[in-house]
Amino acid sequence: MAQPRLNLKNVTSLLVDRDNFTRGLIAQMLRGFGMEPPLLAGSGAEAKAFLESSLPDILFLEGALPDMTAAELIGWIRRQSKKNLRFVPIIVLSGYTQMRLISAARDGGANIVLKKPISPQTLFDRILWVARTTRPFLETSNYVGPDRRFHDVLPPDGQYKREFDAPLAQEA
Amino acid sequence: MKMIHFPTTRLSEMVARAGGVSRSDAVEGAMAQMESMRGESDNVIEAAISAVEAVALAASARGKFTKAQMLDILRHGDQIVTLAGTFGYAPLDIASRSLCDVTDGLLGAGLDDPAPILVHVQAIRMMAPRATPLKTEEIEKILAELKKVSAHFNFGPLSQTAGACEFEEVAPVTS
Repeated sequence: MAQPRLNLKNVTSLLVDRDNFTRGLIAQMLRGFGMEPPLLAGSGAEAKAFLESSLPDILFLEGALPDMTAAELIGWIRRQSKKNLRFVPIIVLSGYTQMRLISAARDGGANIVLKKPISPQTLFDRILWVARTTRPFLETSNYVGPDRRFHDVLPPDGQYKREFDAPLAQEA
Repeated sequence: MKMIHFPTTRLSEMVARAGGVSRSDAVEGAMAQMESMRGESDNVIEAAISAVEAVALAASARGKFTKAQMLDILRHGDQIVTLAGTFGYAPLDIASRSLCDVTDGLLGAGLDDPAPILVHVQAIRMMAPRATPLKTEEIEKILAELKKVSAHFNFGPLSQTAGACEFEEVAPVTS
């Protein structure tokens, strides 16, 4: 059966990672997918400066930036008045020693968190999952971001992580 | 007050356009782009291992690690894990994860004993991409010894600290 074709041409992104080589590596993956070369930033402050003047279609953030955590940067993004920026899809890429920050990134409003090393297959599938999955976007006093529960939509790996996420029909 | 939106993003509109590439073509394109960076990646791994060695040497002379030195090792170790995993250097990937686990464990426990870190540094040097290739049984023996070090201190893998949330176990790129 022919695979569906997916159009990532002209899709713009901002890639924020402290390490120059890692930025280059992920940028190459994105170019391989047919996306535009990403804007590159090495810190949270640089990323904010970019986002003040431009609006990428998707963001990729390292879990721990030199000047702030990804969760702090996401918190800033999710509370911006420009709606298009507030709702922008955000993928956090966590290093092996940054795993304690994963829950914080999720609770900060990331769409999804991926653990490095990241294969092109995984990155491609997760970009598409983020693009094609409609998740409610919540704004509350202590959380702004995509709904963290998966009642109606399966997580990208198809596995429910928490018992109370599974639909009632599955429990029967 | 709670507000619920159902936003349509530009990304979702763009991927719905006609045309584009199949998944396999996209992934193949990305793999080719990445593979072109293997040589440069090997240089970065070498530099990170040298940086870890320099920190270890300084600590060894002093007889103990400072917190700053351990954090330095974790920073370089993280990079080695990422690149070793990405480019399919499995033994180096395991050894460098173990280095990070032990360093993080010592840091958390307030210990500064250099020996557990030094043995890991020697191991990752032997498994570097440009080191003389080891036999499978030699690699297994080294990795088994590293495992004993973690077991001695009862340090678990850092990956267990993540808690339950969505993140991925991934396959490395293989050449």
